[in-house]
Amino acid sequence: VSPLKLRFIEGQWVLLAKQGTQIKNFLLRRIISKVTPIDNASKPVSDEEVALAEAELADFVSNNKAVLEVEPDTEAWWHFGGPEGSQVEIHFMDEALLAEDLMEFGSEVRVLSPESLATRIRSGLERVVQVHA
Amino acid sequence: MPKQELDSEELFNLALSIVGLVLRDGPMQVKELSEHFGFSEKTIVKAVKTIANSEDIGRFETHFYVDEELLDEGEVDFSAGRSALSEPPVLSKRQTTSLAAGLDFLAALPQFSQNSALAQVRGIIGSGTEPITDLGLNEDQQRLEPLRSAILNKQQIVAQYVNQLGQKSSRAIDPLRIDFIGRRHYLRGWCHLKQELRSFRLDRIIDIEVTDQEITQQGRSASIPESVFGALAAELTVEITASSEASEIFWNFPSFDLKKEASGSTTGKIQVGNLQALGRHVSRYGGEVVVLAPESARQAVSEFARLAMTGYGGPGDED
Repeated sequence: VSPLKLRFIEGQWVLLAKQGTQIKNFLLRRIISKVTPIDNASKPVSDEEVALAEAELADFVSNNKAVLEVEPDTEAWWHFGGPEGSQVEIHFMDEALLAEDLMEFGSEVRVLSPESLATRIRSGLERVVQVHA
Repeated sequence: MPKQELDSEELFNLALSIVGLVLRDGPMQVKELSEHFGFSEKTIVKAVKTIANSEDIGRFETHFYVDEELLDEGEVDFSAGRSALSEPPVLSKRQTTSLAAGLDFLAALPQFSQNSALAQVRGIIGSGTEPITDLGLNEDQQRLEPLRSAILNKQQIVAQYVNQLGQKSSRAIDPLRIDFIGRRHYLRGWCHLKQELRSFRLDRIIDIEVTDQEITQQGRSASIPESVFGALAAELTVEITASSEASEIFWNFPSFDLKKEASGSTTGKIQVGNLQALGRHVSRYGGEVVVLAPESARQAVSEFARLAMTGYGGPGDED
């Protein structure tokens, strides 16, 4: 890939890079190998192309919505701003990473939607129980 | 069999590593350095002589002088020069890249965005004028601004803080420093309530009021330990193993005896203050972190996850 920009979004480093003809976002924590610079010169990318890729990521995040039920007066409740009711709506970049963040709150949070997130959390918790049996 | 052949850049980097180690730990035998770095004694001597003889460094007033007499006797020692460098030293491509990346990060911070000295250094090093790092403006950044101002002006703050058990308290704090560890910011400060130096996770501070009172004498004289984690009152040593993707868990605790396995996972020991907190930290990785011992810690994690599953129709719902 041709690296273009490093962004710190919601506690995650994201590399904006050109791969082939596409500009993509790569989570740094998912790059698990050693990074090797190569001699090939990267192809020039215009500011407009970078801005478009960033806007696409912003659109992607705004369309990823989760509805949660949080237990009042817990750390999770404070974390989500101490909402009036018990429900909060949040936007997220990566479902797997959001699942991690929510699993840390344990029983203080329950995912109402999307179902895929709830399933992912349930599977993760099951695995925790399984490996500690 | 120790590695023997190094190209000029590797030799230069080895020389710098030797300087760092010897300045930190004091004079060392060539033999010890050979074993430490895995190179032959001949290569070590060659690297040490690079410090004194390098054509690149020789053009400048080097800060490290090799004791050649001692070197002939098999010992490596340096003295640090006191003269100022009149020109920047020659750096390898990798060193320049590392510096450029660090300076770029600084340039992306709001408080450095208009810093002319930084812009000048970035210009010298060949960076573009615009940062390639974008830190965004998340909730932490919004809390950071008043904190930075309070630290610089030595003003006390009052913070509403929620601990890891969800307990909320109001703390008067002498803010001293902000650390960024792993993925989180921590405020290091003198806590008036606890009468000791404490670390506060920034995402757990829900409100900050900067007062017009100066920080106390205790805050002024407090010495901040390097580790963000203070001594825990009733700490328990727990052995865990974490996959490569979850190894960041070791950043969250004082840790030791870390060993990287061939599989890429890391095994080591951490010190925890309470087992409930351990449950939270371990469960977030969905089985990628496993508590090996003691059994009480394994049970605590399992209980935490079981309780959390009740919200998803898990086994906790059964009679």
